[in-house]
Amino acid sequence: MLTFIARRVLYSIPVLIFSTFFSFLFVSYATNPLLAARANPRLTPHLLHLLVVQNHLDKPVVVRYFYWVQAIFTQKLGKSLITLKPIWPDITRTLGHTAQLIIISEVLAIVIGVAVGIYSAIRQYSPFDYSFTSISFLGFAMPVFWLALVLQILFVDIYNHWHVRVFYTSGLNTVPGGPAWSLDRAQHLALPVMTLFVVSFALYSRYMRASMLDVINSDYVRTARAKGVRERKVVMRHVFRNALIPITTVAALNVGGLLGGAIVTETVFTLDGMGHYFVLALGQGDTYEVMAYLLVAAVIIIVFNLIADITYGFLDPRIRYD
Amino acid sequence: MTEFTRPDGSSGLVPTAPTVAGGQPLAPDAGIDTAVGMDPGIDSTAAAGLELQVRSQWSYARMRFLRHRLAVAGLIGLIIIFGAGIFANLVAPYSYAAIDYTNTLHPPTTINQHYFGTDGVGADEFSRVIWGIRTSLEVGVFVAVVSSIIGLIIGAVAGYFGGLLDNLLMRITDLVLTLPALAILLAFSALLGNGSQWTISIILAAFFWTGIARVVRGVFLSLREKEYVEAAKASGAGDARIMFRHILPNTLGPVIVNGTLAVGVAILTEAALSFLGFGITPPTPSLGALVNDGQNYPSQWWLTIFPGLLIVLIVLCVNFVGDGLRDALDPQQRRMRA
Repeated sequence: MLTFIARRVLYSIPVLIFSTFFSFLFVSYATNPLLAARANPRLTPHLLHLLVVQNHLDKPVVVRYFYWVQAIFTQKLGKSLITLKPIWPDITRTLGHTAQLIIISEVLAIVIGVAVGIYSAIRQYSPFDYSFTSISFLGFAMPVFWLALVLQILFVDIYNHWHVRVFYTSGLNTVPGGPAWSLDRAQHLALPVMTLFVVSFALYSRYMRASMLDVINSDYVRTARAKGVRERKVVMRHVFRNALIPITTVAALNVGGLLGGAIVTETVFTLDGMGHYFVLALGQGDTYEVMAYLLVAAVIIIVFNLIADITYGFLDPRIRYD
Repeated sequence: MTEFTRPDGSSGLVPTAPTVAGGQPLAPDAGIDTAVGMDPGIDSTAAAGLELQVRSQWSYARMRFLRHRLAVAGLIGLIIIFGAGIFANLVAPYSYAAIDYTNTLHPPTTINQHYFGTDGVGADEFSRVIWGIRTSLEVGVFVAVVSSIIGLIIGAVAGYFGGLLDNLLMRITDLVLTLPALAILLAFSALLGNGSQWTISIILAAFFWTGIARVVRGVFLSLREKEYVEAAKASGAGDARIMFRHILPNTLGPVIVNGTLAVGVAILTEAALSFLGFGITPPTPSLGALVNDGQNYPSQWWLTIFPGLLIVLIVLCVNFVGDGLRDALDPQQRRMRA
């Protein structure tokens, strides 16, 4: 097991290097970090030249990649060449906000999705099953940004009609701090969380249902029933626990999709998260900010892929890693 | 009754079950005869003994598909929606960019055929949505077809020959799986895109082929060791003939299913890119860009709701059809869905 983990960790290093290398090649060919500087009338040619040399922009792109890698470790991702702001504080701040959004919606989606999936499977083809199947079909077909906008329109309308602030439709906070801060934050996060929740919920409830049905029809469940185990115990001990194994993998591999969903959700709700930061950086063609996001996102996805592999081996003793 | 599936998947001879005098089939356990139902004519002839009826696998698939009510509903929905998109110039009462400053932000009404209302410059939202459907259709079909073809070829070669190419393919698909997909697509379309639907389609196809390649590779890996392939080899068939004549038809089921579902995913992804402003940009009509436009008018709900609703409907129908195809094209599938 330990050798397996070690091998998987070692294997993700070249994957990370390759993916960042190709992203870097592409992003730096397609963006021009000097665009803003050139447009600045107060910047003399001499200063411009200094900027180029200081940031190694006169070097070939492959060499620049290594300077960038160096900057990751020595200067905490360096600074943006357009806003000249250091990247690290922005990334950590926005990452925290995105993490709040994703973790809350994921926990809700997993808990409720698994519960609904179990009940749908043991009451297969019941009205309950059919209605949640329809909901999850809708969830799969719905563009995230549209769902977010519909919620936004709804709650803006509620506010305009009754002047009751149920949930805020943009931003993260209106209260600077103090005891009301948490409630205020919750009111701001509710709609983005709801948006991401619907999409993940559709996924988990479908998977859980399919996985339960898979296990319910297996021989050892029939044996358990045959020897007189009570139905409740059959479901909870024999079916549920085994059906849960694939869900852990699905949840861990879903993180890439969640980051994508976060990009859209945060943009709609102008939430100061990583996704919003990325879209803004991309709009400005800011090479290093875009690369910082891609790096962090790739690391997160790779780590969760790793977690998926390891937990699977941990939960399913039939898997042998040699 | 047994269904004989020839390994190459071309056609099967299906002997109907011998029946006793009562006309009851002897093998009721094979789900297909109870579920698909037998031709009314079979019983009388079957009473005389064993009857052979030629029925291709495709006709079985068609029957299974038509039994799938949601899939048929999805297909009808798609025909209507995409039909409206294809014949946009006949269906849409106005042109995509017809501006009427005397009639801006009008709520949905039947007067002057503004079924979905008008937008900020007085253009008819219904017409814009219809034209947007056409663009979505173009993107979805292009991405599905191109990525299926690329995935099919690469997956076939990698799965059949193995070795270095196979390794390379698996590493590339690994890489694609570990990339933050939407972010990379956004970056590509922001930097390469020129607002045309074809550029976006090519970018999407360049990412979507890996999934299909993986599926095809899997089928090739498992089938290339099969006895019938050995038999084909022994009788002198070359690699190309074995690959395309003997193994490839077995991959068509999963490829068609994946391709159909890819239409939906491509439409959703394109809409997201266009919504964020990095995909298709005006003057090319696009449902995602329409929603983006509607975002500027939060109290004019119709400008956001209708284009988005059409995306939901299209993807819903595509997914239903894909689901039906998955059930219909899986030769192992015996259970019928109501």
